[in-house]
Amino acid sequence: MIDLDTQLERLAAEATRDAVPPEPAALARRGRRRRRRQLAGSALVVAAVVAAGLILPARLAGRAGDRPRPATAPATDVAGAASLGGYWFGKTDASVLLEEGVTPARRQAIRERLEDLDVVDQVYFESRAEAWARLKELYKGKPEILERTDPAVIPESFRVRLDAPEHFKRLLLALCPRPLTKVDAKLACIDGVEAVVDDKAPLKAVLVPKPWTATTDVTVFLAGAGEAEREAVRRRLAALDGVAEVTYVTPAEAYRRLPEKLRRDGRDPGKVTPLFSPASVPAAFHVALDGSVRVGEFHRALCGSRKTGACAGILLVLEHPRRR
Amino acid sequence: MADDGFAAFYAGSYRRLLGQLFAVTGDLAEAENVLQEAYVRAFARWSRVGDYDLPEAWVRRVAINLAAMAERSLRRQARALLRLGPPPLVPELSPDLLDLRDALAALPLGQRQVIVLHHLVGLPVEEVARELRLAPGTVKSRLARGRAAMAGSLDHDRSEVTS
Repeated sequence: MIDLDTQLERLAAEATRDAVPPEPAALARRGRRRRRRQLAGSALVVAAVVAAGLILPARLAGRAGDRPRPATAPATDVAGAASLGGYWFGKTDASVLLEEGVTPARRQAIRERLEDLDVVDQVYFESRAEAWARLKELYKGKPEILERTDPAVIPESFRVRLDAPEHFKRLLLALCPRPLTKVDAKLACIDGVEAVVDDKAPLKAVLVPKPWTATTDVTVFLAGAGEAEREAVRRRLAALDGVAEVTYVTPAEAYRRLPEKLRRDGRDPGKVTPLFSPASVPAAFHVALDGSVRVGEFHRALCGSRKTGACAGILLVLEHPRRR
Repeated sequence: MADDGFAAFYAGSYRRLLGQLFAVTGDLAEAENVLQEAYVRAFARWSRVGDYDLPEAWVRRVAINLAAMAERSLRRQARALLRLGPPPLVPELSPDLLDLRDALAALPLGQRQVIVLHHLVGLPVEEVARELRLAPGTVKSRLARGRAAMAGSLDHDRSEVTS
């Protein structure tokens, strides 16, 4: 049995490592303005960028207290701007963000290290200029988002496809091997690596909330919205062993039900729904298995492999392990 | 903001309480939300709360109750507790702590509350019972069930990684 006291202390210390208490004056304002709804513009930008598949490190996002914000930040409508169809989305599983000023030699060494890992299937490099160009394209209708983003602090990154999505933890362990011993130390990644991020975390958190997972073992997000593609996937699902029930959810339906689901999850829909639009939520089949096959076997049977992006007509397969 | 020791109390207790609330909610933004709301309430009553032996315990109790309400009640959304700054990103955690966080998050709220108060805050069972207005026997059984469930999922995860 683990030493729960010590482990919980470490968890609490690490989780709050970067936390900065808001100024007391800001607290007082909060008291006065308690009932007024306010969307923090910069908060939305960060969340939108994350949703789009470009995960930013904390130095870009800014922390509470970094910059003064106007007392009433304008509510930014980014509906439609954030698209889950970001370039890397559905192609890779993880982002390895590089530290600022990493030398080309060191970058090459990191790449070789990645390629040597047995859980890594493909490695792509994205330069700062490429990332910025992609961001500009993604938000071309929303200049206010681009204005708040400083291209100089966008990190270079390796985009990594794993041989199976659940191997993220092994990738993380390989690059950031040492658990923290000191409260204020950064997570100890190998030289040149700033952070390793699970690309699907935002999607899992938002689009697959608890009420669905109670009856769903696997969510199969579709790559296209066409009827022919959809029916082809439906036939493939129907032909598999162990499938108890398949429910189709249209993008419009998923978008309509999003606020209700977020509320049931105890999340604030006002902060999350603006990141999505009916066009940016992928269509999905929600699949319940009958217990005769394991979730992992199902994925392989459907796609022939568990690699992200290797499945015809399918954007992404998200598995929801649950105890039976 | 008038002071009377509030600022020092606030600065001195914020991170500790935030860590405790994170352990209860499993979500840093949510933990900040309820904690800041609790500080706002403490400040509004500071002439009274500041005289308590443990104002920190008062803030913690209010924040834990708010977190429970948030989990239990939809009405909380209408109140739209306001966020003060950009959301912190998901905290970077050491790989072994990811398992712990997930194991904790999988527990029902009642078990999470007693685990955090007993094991992280360090309160004895009787005080946990008083804090949450529960019978000591209930606290003990929730502790036992919570620990057993966490041990189960942590062992399970470990075997998965090493296989």
